[in-house]
Amino acid sequence: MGGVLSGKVGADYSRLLGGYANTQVYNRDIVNRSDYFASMRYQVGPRWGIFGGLMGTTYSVSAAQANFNNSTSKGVDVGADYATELNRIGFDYRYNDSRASNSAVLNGVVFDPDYREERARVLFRYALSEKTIFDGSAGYLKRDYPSTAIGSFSGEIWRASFQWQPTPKTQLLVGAWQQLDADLTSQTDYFVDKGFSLTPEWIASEKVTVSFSVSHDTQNYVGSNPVGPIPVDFTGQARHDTLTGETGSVIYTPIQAIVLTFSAGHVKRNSNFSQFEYNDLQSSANITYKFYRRGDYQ
Amino acid sequence: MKIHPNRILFAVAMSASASTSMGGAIEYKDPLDLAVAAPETSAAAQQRIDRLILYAGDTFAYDNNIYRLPASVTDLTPLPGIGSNPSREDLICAPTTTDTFEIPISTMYQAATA
Repeated sequence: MGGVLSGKVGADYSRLLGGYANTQVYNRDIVNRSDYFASMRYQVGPRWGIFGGLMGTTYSVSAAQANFNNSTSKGVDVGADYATELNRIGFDYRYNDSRASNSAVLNGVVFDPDYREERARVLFRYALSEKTIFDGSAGYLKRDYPSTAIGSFSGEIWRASFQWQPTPKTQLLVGAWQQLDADLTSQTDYFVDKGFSLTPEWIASEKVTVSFSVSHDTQNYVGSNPVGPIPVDFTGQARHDTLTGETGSVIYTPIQAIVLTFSAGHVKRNSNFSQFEYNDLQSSANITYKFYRRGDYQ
Repeated sequence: MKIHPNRILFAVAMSASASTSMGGAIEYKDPLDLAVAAPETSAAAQQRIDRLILYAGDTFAYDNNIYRLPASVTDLTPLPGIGSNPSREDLICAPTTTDTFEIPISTMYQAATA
């Protein structure tokens, strides 16, 4: 509006099969998530902008034994940035208030896993050359649980990636990160995740793209708060996991309306608690057909 | 030479889908993160028009340890919630559909590049 004010309003809904990577319930668990959001950006000048947005989220799982993960949350995000065609520096602040509809039991204590979370970050993107882009963020995340049954936590978070395109048909993406994270199906069990990844890609032709990715994560659990039907005794030491993964993909686009993707991957998780160790091999084939198109990009 | 960020990001996302518990180089962004993201480059903004696109797809996947169990677990029947005749491996067929509908009301991009 007027070239300086813009915004978005939208809704997202997803329904997917929950994974078993960090759960103690082995029946089918369907995860539903609905997001409703609105955002606005005001361009102060040709390069300076301020932005903000609101979002409401409803999250639920179908497994009765895991329903302490059900929640509704409200979030607000504000920030400002200075951007050119390829470069950007800015900051953002996010506040999230999550309310759980069901109680959880931890060490014999019944509690509501409600929480308030704050995140402040500096955002940075810089084109080092025509072939290389650096993209990163760094900040602090803090989560408070009103209940004393579960420990609050806070810490530094950062993420950095280099994208290098030595030739028109080859690219390399190198990433490193430190995040505070939790599995979707185990929201009360948080860990500090430090890792790196390396992803070379080869655009073999107009129709074929080949990529390979290797990654390594270390996950140090914060207070170790698993909630579920099987008691896990963490007395004496906190849980510590490492994950290594390798994945290869081939994307084939025979015609513009059809995309075929073939991928295979392997993940190995080691842990100081043997019940959390696993080896996993996956492969998949996907076909996507764009059967109706009106407009699209020109 | 022009860098193609979208193409490599798509390839990385496909790789990451095989391992959702791992962080990966590409940050997960929820809808609010995407909604407040930096404005598009001038070229992309100028190309944006009203559009409706409907996709249908299917994924066939094989997983040799779908419950993410350690090798020491050989009898799956005592696991809580697990069904009858449990198997460590599985073949999954997942049809999907995606609809994309956009009407730009206002087109804004970095004036310095106009």
